[in-house]
Amino acid sequence: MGLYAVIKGNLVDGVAVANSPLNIDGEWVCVDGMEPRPGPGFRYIDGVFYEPEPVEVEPVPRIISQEKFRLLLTDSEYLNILKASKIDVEVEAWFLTFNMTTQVNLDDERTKSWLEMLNSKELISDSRKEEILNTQV
Amino acid sequence: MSQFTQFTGSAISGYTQSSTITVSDTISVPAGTKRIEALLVGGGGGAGRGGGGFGGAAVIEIPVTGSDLEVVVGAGAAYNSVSAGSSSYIVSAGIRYAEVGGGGSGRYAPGVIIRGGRSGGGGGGGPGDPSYIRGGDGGGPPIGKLLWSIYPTDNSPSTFNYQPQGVAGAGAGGQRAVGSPGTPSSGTNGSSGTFGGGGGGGGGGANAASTGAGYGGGGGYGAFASGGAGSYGGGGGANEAPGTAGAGGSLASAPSIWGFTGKAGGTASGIRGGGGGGLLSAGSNATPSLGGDGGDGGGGGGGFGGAGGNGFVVIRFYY
Repeated sequence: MGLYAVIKGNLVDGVAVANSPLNIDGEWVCVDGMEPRPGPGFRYIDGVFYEPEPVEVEPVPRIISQEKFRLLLTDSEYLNILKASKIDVEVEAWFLTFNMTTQVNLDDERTKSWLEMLNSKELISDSRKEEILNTQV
Repeated sequence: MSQFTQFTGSAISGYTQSSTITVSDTISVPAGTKRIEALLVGGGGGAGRGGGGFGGAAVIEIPVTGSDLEVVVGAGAAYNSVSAGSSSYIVSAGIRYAEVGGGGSGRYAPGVIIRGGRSGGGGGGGPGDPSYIRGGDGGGPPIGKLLWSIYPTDNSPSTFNYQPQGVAGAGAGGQRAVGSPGTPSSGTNGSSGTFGGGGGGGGGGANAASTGAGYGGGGGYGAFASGGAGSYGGGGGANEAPGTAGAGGSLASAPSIWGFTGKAGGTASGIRGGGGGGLLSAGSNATPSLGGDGGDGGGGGGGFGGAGGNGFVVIRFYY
């Protein structure tokens, strides 16, 4: 018993279990012992198997709710930001904008600049800024 | 009997059943055959970090053409294959009248998406990390005049967060959870298909466990949590500490068909997942060094080492 790639055009349609090539519904090529073993979607060109072309997947933005972003800040950090917003117009602008949002995109440049602003005013530390920006969701 | 007369125009008085065809072959149609039905089981998906999908199983009517039947038995996929398990199918007079399977791959590599199932095969389990890669989608329904499918129709093999069923019978793959420190949350499970395969489970991410797989789906990889269990013949997902890998999905609760009864899935061991049960043999138990292979008859491989089980075909000739 062996394994045979069933090839249609230049693509492997499947791998059949067989004692010998039946040569139905395509060309049958023995793939016993091949590493990696060809499978559906492999290309077969001039007698050589090639893995399927990689399919690039666009990363999905890391979007979290306003509440979850708030919880990424410690209570102490949040209270300090709230206090600063009473006397610093830049912090107040961020705070008002934050309160208008329903979601925060951690991959958005604006989010990064917000956190850098809060960091520059010593409301969050360097390490906390990086930790928040690198949160896995 | 009257029902058969209604559809064939002449009475059916009995049938002969082929042996279990595990090697591709040309089968002659006995003289006097009035109707042909075939049970086809596709090859199971191989594992990667996630478990491989079940190969799918269905009974399909084959027209009597006067020609022999070319029966192709699909192979299970190897461990870490970028490809799915292969279809089992029947060709007569040059036309593919029936096709089932195979199960999707549980492999993830950068730039290579988890392979979905095909023609009733379940999707492979998700990788957990990166978070945007879902479990593989289940395949659409088998090709042919479908008479029976192994998948239940209740669409609710698990208990939470099911997505709507996918397009054309396929189940969508699960999405990894979105959580934050101290507030873990659940992602979406793989959904179950209608005659098509179920989606693989989403992998476990930071602050969240792996999500459940739809019927036939492989378990998701626990990148930061326990690996997910396979469902209905799907392989179990592997994991990283802490936690354990997922067990292979059992087919024992599946309805018997033509004397074939679903077998149990294999158990997990440490970080490695158990193989999914097949219709011919049980999924292998994982060992500390190797994920369990899927059982023959479509079982998906268990994470970190398991290969998919091969498919098979059985034919009934009614006279």
